Amino acid sequence: MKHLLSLFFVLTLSLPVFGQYQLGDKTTDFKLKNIDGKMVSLKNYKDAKGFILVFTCNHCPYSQAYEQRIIALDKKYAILGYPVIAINPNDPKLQPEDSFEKMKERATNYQYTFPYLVDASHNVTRTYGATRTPHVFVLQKEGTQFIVKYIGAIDDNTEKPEAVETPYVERAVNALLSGSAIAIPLTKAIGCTIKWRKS
Amino acid sequence: MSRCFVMALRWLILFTFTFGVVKAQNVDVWAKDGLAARLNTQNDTVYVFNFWATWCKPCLEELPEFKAAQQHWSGKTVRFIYLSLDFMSKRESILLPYVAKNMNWAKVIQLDAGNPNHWIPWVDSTWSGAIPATLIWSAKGRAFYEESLRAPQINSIVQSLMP
Repeated sequence: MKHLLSLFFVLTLSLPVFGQYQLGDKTTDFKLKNIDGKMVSLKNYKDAKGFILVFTCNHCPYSQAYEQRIIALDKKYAILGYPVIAINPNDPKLQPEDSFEKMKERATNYQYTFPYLVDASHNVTRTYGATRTPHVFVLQKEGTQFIVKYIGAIDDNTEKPEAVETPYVERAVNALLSGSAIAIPLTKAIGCTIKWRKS
Repeated sequence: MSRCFVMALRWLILFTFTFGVVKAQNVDVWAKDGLAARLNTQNDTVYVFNFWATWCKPCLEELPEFKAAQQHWSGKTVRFIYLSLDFMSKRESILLPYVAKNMNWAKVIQLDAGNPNHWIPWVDSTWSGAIPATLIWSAKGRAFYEESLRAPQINSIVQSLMP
């Protein structure tokens, strides 16, 4: 039994490393704790056509710069079937500002309209292959599956929202809503490195 | 009384002027073209470009490692440049005071290169954009790390790229 457990442990640790999602990949559902204490899974959203999944956190200035834009994305796209789900991937031991309590505080202060989940084990973060905050994955429902359709940045100007030329995520979701191809499905952006738990 | 005031004013002007000039000299700004030109430079020098920011905790933690490596190669054809990704709006309030206080040993550049989706791949095709990240190259080859480095690592990479 002990061996089985350790084998399971090794497998769950090592598998996600190979499972970093690429465009077009089917995702497996997750179950993560929200700041209200309830568990959230993709399958809870019966009417969703897809999701705007954002790996983000409290402390990172790049996440903070995008916070209002993330809230705006949810306000605009949740009613169209693409709600935002935010996931904090950081180990609070390394970054105390990203603790569960601080997450609750921030979400309340800034009136988040979406779940703000904890991925303390980093399992979901590793599976997706998120490397920084903020890091966005747009998923689209096909049958019972959710497929990765966009990976990358929210837009092309972190510091100056008014100077954005291409709002990548909006363009991607608009394309999905209209059934057309996403012109730029993969982008790169500067962000805070994920604070991986030191084992 | 009025002489006192004039003296004080003179000092104030001199003080402001001096510090303003020193700050401007210390941290140049590279736009997109400047970055591109530097990344394409190939000569007898080994270049170490460390991408960092004052808000990036692991970046600040690895700076002493870079300082040690830089000292190790002092006098050799190795050039260490620290490219800050601090927001331009935080230049005066955060970056310049930080550099003045902690990094008088370093050649710091502030990047203002526009859309990162354009220039990140110039640095390395595998870079996701997370920092710290370090590019080390010479005419002999190149190495890229999207992780924190230690001085011995930096030293052996530099050694392997020495002409």
